[in-house]
Amino acid sequence: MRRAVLALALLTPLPALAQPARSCEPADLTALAGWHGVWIAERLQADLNGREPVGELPHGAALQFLGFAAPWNDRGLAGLESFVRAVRGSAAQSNGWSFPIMMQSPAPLRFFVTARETVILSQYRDIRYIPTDGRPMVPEEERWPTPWGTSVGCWEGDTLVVQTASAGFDAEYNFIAPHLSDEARFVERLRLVSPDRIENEITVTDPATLTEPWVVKVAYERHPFLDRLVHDGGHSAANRVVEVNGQGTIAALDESGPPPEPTFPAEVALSAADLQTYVGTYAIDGAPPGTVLTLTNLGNRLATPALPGRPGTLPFYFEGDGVFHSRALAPMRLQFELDAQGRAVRFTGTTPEGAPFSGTRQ
Amino acid sequence: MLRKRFLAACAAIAALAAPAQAHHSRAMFDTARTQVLTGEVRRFLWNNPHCYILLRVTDAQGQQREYSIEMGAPMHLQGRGWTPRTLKAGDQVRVAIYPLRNGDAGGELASITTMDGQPLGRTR
Repeated sequence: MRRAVLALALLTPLPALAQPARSCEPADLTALAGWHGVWIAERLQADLNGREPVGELPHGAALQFLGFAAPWNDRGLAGLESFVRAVRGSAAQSNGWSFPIMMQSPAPLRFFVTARETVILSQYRDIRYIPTDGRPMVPEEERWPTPWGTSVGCWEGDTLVVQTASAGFDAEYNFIAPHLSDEARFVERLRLVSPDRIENEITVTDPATLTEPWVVKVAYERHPFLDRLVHDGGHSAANRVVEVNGQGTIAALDESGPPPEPTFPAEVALSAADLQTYVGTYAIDGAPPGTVLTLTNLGNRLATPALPGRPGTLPFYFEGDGVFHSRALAPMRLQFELDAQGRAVRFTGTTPEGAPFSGTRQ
Repeated sequence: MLRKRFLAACAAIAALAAPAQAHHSRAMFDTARTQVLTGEVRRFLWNNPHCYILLRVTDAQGQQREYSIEMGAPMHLQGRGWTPRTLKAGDQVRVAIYPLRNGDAGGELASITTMDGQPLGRTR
C-alpha cells in the first residue's frame, strides 16, 4: 500500500515552484520624469494643412513606416503597390494611424510612464498599453489582431524595451499602414537621450512579408509649445459640411474606400543579362530639362525610385517583347525599342495618369 | 517654393499624394501648383478631422465667388498655435491653395497670412 501511494505521488505533477517575476519595473522612476510632456516625431510637425511639415524634410526622413525602404518580399511588395494605388487613385479615408505607423507620424505623442505600466497615446487617439510588471507576452491563443497589437515592456536601465505582437494591417482602419502580416513581431528600444529628445529603434520581423528584419530608427522632439493633447471626435466622419454657393464641392467625393484591386498581365521571367539592357536613365521627351525616368534593377525586376535619390523600390513587371507594366503606378506602361546590339535606347508608353509619353536614354 | 511633402514626389513623373494625416488622400487637390487668393472670411469651421475656411473672393470684374479651403485637423492647427478664435467672419486674409482638380472653387491650404503679410498663430 505504501509503495502504491508513493508511486502515485511520483506521478502527480509537482506544483510549479513560484518563480519571482522578472523585474521589469524601472530602477528609479523619478529619473524618468523627463518623459512627461508632448512629443512630435522629428521633423514631422505638421503645418496648417496637416499634410506638409513645418520645415524642410530631408530625403528619406518622411514616414518610414509607409514602407518604401522596407525589405519586402513579393507579398509585401504587392501590399506596397496596393497602398500606392490607393493613395493615388481615391479619396479613401482612414480612422487613425495604428501601430507601428503611429510611432512616426505628424500626430503628437505622450508617454505616461509609471512603475508597472506605460501608456503611449497619440493625438489621433491611438493608444498602446504596455505593462512593465514582468509579465510575459500574452500567449498566441489569447491574442487577436488589432490596429495597435498587444505589448509587454521591460525597463533595461533607462531603456524601455517593448515587444509587440498581433498588430495586423487593417485596411478599414488605416489603408496607408504597412501591409505586414498578423504574425509580425516588433521590438522597440525607447530611451530619453536628452531633455528634449527620445530615440526609438523599432525592429520588425515578419517572414510572411519581409526578407529580413526591418529596422527603423525614429526620434521624438519635445513640441515647441504644446503642453497638452486635445482629442476630437469625428475622425471617421465624412466631414463634408462644406457649403459653396449652395452646392457641395469636396462633399461630392466618394470616400467609401480604396479603389478596387485591378488585375494585371502575368509576369514573364527575365534573365539578369536581359534585364540589364533596360537599366538606365531616360530623359522624358518634351518635358523640362532634368525630367527623367530612372530605372534600376530590384532583384530580377526593373524598378524606379519611390523617393528621389533613393534606390528603385517600385517594380515594373515584364510582359515580353520589351513591354513592362507597373502595378503601383498603374496604368503606367513602357514599350522599349532596342538598338542593333539589343540595348534599350528609347521607350514609348503611358504615364501613371494615363497620358502617352516617351523617353530617350541619356 | 513648394515645401517637400511628407511623401515626396515619386519617380519624377509619378506625383504621389501625401497622406500626412489619417483621414483621406489628397488626390483631389492639384499639389503641383498653387493659387493665390485674397478675400474675406465668411466662416471659419473648427471641425475634426478637417477645419475649413469659407472665403469670399471678388474678382477683377466684381464677381464674388466663395472658396472652400480645407485645412488639417484641429490638432494640426493647435500645433501651429491656432485656436477657434484665430479667424472670424469678416477677417481679410491672403491665402495660397492647392486647387481642386475638378475646377470647383476650393482647395487645400498651402499658406495664409494677414493682408499685410503677417503670419497667423504662433510657432514657439
